[in-house]
Amino acid sequence: MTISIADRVAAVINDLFGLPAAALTPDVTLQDGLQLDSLSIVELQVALEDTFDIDLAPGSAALDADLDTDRAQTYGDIVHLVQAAVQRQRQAS
Amino acid sequence: MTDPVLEPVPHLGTIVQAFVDRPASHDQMLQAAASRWPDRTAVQAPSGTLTYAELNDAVTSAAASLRSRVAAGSHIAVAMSHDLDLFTVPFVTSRAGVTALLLNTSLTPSGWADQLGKIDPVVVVADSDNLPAATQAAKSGGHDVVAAETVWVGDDHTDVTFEPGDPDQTLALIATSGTTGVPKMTRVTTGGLIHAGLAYCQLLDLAGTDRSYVCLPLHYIGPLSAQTTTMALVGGVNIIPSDTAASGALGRMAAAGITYVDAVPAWLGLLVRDDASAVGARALPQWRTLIYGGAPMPAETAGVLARRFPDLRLWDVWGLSETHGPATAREYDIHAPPLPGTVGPPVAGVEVRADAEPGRPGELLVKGANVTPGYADDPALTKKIIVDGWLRTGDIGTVGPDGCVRLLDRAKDVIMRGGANIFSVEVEQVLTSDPAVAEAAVYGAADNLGEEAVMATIVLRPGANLDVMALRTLIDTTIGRHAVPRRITTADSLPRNATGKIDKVLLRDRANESAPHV
Repeated sequence: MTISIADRVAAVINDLFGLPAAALTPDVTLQDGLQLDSLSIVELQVALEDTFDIDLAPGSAALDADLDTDRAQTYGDIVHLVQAAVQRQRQAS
Repeated sequence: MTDPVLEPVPHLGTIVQAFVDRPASHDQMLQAAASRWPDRTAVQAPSGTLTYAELNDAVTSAAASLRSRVAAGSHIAVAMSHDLDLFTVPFVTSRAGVTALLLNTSLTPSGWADQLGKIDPVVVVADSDNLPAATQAAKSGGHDVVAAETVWVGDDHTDVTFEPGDPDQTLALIATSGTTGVPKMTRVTTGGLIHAGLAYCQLLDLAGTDRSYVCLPLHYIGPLSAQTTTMALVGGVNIIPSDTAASGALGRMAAAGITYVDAVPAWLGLLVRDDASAVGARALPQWRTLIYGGAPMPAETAGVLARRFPDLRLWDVWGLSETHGPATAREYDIHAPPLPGTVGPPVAGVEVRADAEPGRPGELLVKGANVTPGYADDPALTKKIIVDGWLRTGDIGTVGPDGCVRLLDRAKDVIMRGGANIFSVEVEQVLTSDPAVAEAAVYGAADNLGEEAVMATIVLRPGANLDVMALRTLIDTTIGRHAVPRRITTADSLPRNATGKIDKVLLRDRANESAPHV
């Protein structure tokens, strides 16, 4: 059984910020819901890129045109973003 | 409390306000005490009790014996436990005209060896408890070690004449707590002790009926100025307990009829937590004065003490080894608990200002006759921290229009993140305002972007659960998003150094070691 991408994203967030899994609902926003400041969100993005070996920079070829890092507001958005990027990465390779 | 009479005197290249009625020197203070109150008890210690006349004679004997071995102006070191000999050291060195490095008995022999290397004393005087460790510490530098009993209880050298006491004499060197970096050897002068002592006497209305409980180590500046010096100024007695622990201290204080205590908040926290038993105001009816400092006082501890001892006056004192103890003081009022960090106006003769625009936070600067002339082992640092007679304290705070000082943080503990300054003490205060949190330490640690991240380690109250999200929201709404800790972790207790200050260097190092570098 493999660990789901959502669980791995939750693990990265827990490693960095010690946030309990219960707080990570799909609708919770990173900024106002999890109280992450802008630097922490950049750090999270970098950590996710390293963990999943993906590129989450805005406009990156790995991303769907309609799914942009800049517009990812919620935990659900982030999971979706990572899932999409991982999938495109696989298709490309 | 009457208004003190002060006069301008030159000190450290500036003019400061000095008490008019000051003894000419620390040694003359003891001589005056011995002639005014010869039969009053000066000190009760585990190994003996002395009246002021007996103390004066013992000091003469020890000073003469010391001067038969070392010249006036020499440096010696003392390795002594919390007892009579250590109590007499500042009196002996001021009479003999020598300077004693006071070795902290909670350090290891290698820590002593470092300090001996910096000061290069002519001799190390050790009591029997500390003789083996002193011998080990002195080996690398080739320093002579002698047993205290051969010096301190010397022959009757009545033929020695001593120089008149000098207020600028450095009678002791003490290593400042050194929460960061290498400890520095602060000069403790006879004039500095006298002014700090007189400021305490005036603030606290100390009198010859006072019985002072010395639970802090006698090689700290706190008891040296607030207790050893004040009691000699007013003719009171110092009680040196064989057991300085907080556990059981209330019972020991009651048995000794204590009126006055100088302590650190951590010790007082243990005192009220440990001793929930019967010892209260009825057993300690005469306890009227408590001073504390060195760390923020938890509101709960102050509240418990004030409720349990209704006649006790509690004073939060802010100061440093470099001010011989006091700079500001504020009396605790249970009906109007102070804003966190509020430490009151300067004590008599002392001036405090913030190095900033009026009302804005800045490094606090202190001027007064109680400011040290500097560090014996570091003249360059001395020049940096004492500028035009103003001491740079390394504490960040504000000075209100009424002169009241509010501490925000140690300069070195301010966390810089994304261009914003985060005051660790402020975040700690918010965290401990949550009923689940007993204690909090907030400190900076490197994040993966090369910025400082806010880290928090908290101790939960018994039975309380950690609610990370509630604490994050609390800080977000009270201070702001930038101050929300990157991580909040729990611990059974916070690491503290020997003076009871939270060891943030250790916490920071641990955080940097265990940080996930993904």
